[in-house]
Amino acid sequence: MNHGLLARILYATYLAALFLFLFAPIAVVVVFAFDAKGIATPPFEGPTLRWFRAVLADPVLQQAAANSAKIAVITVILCILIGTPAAFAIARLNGRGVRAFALVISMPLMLPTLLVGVTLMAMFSSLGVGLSMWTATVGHVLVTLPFLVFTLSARITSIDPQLAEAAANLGATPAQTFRRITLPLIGSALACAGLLVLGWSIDEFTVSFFNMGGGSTLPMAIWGQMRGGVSPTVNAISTIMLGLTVFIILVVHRLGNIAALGGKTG
Amino acid sequence: MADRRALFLTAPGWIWLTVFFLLPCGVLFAYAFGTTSYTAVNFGTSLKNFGDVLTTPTLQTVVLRSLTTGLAVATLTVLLAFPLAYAITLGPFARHATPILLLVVVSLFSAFIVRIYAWRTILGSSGVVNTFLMQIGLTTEPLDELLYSRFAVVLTLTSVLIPVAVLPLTAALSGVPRSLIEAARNMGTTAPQAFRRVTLPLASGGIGSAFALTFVVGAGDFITPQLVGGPSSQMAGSAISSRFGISFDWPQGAAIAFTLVAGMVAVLVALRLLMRAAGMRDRP
Amino acid sequence: MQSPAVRVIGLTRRFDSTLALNDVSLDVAEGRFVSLLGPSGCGKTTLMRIIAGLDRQTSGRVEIAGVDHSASAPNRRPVGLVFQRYALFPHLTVAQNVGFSMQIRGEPQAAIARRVTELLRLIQLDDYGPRSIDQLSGGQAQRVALARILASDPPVLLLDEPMSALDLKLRQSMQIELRQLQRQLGKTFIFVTHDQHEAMVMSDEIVLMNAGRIVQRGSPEEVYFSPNSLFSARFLGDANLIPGTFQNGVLAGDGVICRPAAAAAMTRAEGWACIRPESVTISLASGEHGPNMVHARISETIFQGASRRYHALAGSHRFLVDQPTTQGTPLGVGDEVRLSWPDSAVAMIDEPTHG
Repeated sequence: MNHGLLARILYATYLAALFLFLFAPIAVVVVFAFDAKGIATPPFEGPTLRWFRAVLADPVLQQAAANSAKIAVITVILCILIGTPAAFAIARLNGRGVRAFALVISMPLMLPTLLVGVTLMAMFSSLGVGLSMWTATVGHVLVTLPFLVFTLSARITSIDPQLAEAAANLGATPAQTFRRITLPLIGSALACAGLLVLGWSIDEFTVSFFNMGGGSTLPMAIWGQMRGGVSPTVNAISTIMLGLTVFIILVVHRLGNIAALGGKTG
Repeated sequence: MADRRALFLTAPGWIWLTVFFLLPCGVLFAYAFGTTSYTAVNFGTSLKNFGDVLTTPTLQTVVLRSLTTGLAVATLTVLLAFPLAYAITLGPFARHATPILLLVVVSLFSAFIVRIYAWRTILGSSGVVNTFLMQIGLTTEPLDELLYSRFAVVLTLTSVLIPVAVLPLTAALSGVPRSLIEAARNMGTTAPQAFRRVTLPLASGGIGSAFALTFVVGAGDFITPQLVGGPSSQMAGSAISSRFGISFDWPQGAAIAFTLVAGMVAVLVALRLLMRAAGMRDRP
Repeated sequence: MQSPAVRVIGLTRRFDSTLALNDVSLDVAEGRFVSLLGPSGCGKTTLMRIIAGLDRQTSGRVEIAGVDHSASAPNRRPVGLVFQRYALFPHLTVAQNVGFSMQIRGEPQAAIARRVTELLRLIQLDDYGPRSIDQLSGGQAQRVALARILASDPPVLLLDEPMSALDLKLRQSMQIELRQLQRQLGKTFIFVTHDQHEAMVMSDEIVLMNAGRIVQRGSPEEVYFSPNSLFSARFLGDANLIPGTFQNGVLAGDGVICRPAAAAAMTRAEGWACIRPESVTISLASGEHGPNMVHARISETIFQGASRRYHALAGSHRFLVDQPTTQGTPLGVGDEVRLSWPDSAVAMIDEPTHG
């Protein structure tokens, strides 16, 4: 189809406006993270790294960052351990059992995250399980698992199942086939999905909010500082988290798997 | 043989989801029929909690407000996201889809709470928007309604959820063959007719899932109303979270939660029937 | 006595309610080139996959070189499989693909490199070792798949329609190449195909399958000229099929009498005679009439290059006749002719003529 110059200009203007709508608020936060005043109110009063130094020196934030990092890493590991076989089942096998499984696995993503967080907390509490970093991690796995499973199963579906048969025919044991054929072929998709789960977990607020008990994570620290009135370090924490997101997305893009980004829904 | 393999491969997932998702949902459902004192929550068989939700005006209001906010947000989101998805699939920027999608994905994966915080910052009475409006002389004093209002909730959620809608819309539109649209144009249909009779019906699945996803997230959110909404823009999510927090009334919280989910399902089923009816009429 | 290279006994494979293989038994002698021929869905690919262990029989046995492999894992079976779409590993180079099985067995790198070089020379892709497999054409990919199997040195090769993705010219030259390679290596080849020409060109023996059963087996000549069923007669090529009743060892159909070389045992009073178009001699009419001889009128002539095809009407029968273009004078539509064929060209088929 031919698109006239006018159409191109109209679309370009629209896209620019839309991205302004998406990114302008974030940009303001990032800019004022470097502002001497400490609140995001014009005018900009000169650059400083003071707030970043304050963030890095704050023991409460250090603890929150450490929690976020630990939860994220454990979440990624659990997601991969549970999600990889699940993705193979969904991609390679069919039958009523597997279809029911695919439906149940996607349910935490189709419900408001609030309800996932609340149900989990209610169960832990009624069983007398103390809330901690670990209970929060369980929730993180629940909400990120469908994303990992469906991106990975999309990749597995695109691999010719005869490759594994050919390897077996050439004498490879199932373990050798997995290590030499399957893993290299799904490797980059697995790495991309794992990285995105990592980023998602670091950003996840709702589930942690209900299941962390007394502890805190970075998003919870932002929430706490916002609720507690004006805090000059929120802009800096937010900027650090945004920087991390951009970094992860760029790495994923470098690994060449923008298709792996298709599944995140909310 | 395939059955045993399926069981083996899905077993970890089944165990995880049963223990940490299906079971908790059951527990919460049971709580919805329970009672509470200020020290303990008890299971029970009372329908009182659901009765309260349906008859208490404030609770009715928050549930309905959740659904209407969700509908508004989903509608705006899909309408705003559609041209972007169209531009990078069938439209003039198909060859630049990758960098554009990359921006969308960066936005999607940026922390929810940071993006909400950002809106709160710029909509505040001394924020960037008010300052700008006063500088250009459009207003003389800060507009307080910008923040802590329903407007702020809808605006913020729409901005936050646009990336969520872009991906299913893009997937659906990239599955519409250009040749079909060209064929329709060759047969003498106008561009808008071709769009309505070819493109839209073929992309309706993606439009439906984009709408459903943004509706569920929008209607079920509790962060946005608390951070940028005022007292009159609180939604069911805030009520639920407070029942499970400070006010310690799990049974009522559970009842609100299940009422909200039932309302969401009802809305989505109604929309699906509507879409199907509209789709039927479109067919010659 | 030497055991057959491959023996399957009473093999049955059920998929839900359908029988993909129905009590199939087959011996394949060592060093033979055997084609499993049949229409799609006849069970030939299932049979091959079960021999390779990639699919499991519902009942029955699989023996390879005298050893029972009915239940062994695919990686323990001494058979090599060339897949229809080659199944080359996309993340490995040509050389790594060819050397895969040796790598798995943990052979020394130097030995692997030497063998890979040898095999690449054998398939005339000497310089292709470091290339990525998506730089290969269809024919090259097929040779690499073959070399990859040869590197694992199995006594039996299974080939699953390996030529179906190639164009006609390339396919014809690969057919000859593959046949020569098989003779040179002395390995047993089991070749799966739905193309009867391919099967006839290449095979020592054809195993014709239909609906999960073996219909007929024999040399290409036997199966072609002496079909034992209407299915065999039709699947292997064009045939004149004459229904009739048996009397005194001959078959009498509406104005045509067919006399076979040897009286066949028939289970019913009616049946069919099959005569291939090449077996029929055509000459200008001389009024004679008798067994294996009929008077007809030409209704169509078609020039086919090496041969000329005539359609000739004899009573209610329409005969197909192929005459070499270089013999006799061309006949025209409407010419009155005599069709005749030798007793040896008549194959009797014991199937009912109605229903």
